[in-house]
Amino acid sequence: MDIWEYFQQRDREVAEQSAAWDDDLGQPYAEEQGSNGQRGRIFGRVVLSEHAFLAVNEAVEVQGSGVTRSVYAYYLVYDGVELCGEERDPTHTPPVHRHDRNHKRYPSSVISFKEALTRAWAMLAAEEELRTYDTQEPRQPEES
Amino acid sequence: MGPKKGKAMDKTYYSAESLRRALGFFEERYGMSSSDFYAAYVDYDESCMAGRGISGFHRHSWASFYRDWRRMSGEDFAATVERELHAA
Repeated sequence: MDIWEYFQQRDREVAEQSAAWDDDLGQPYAEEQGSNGQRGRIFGRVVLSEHAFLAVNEAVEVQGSGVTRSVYAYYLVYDGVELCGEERDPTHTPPVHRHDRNHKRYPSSVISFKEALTRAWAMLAAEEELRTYDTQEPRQPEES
Repeated sequence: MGPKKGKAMDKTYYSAESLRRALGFFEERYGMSSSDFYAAYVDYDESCMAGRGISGFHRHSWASFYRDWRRMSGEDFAATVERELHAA
């Protein structure tokens, strides 16, 4: 496997979940020069709705048939606000963790991109339902 | 939208030089050097981060680009040599 096969796989995962990379940002995939197709990065936004996207940053290394994401970040952003983020960063304790909308950190488990995208859709649906509820006029009591 | 299923992707590449340019965009936006930012990032200096309005995603990305730039540009190696010289 080389890094471009991994990128192709990632592209399929995005398409399978009815999402798309933000075209305006350009190509999200890049190979590290001189790595002979063994190292690369993904950096971009997966558009989920008019208001929301999943911000993605990954540093990836291919070794044989295996792939290691030495670093990743998946942040769900709604109207410019980060609702939550999943991260792996070796300089932090613990390296794998989650952030809430106040950027408070919690221990987490390693999460695949596919799972992060699935969770983002679920959280987005809950957020939009909450916002719809918040904007509804209070119901008047019925006359007897 | 990204490349369509089954379609060959246009290959793009990054280098130490392009990462350096990317770091410059962060430095310009948040008004601090990458080395100062990284020190604050590693030390969990929340007042520095939040005070400058650096989002979680930008913190993570900036730090990871900076680490890669140091590795690819040989800055880590140069720092080792410098430390050895100071220790001698």
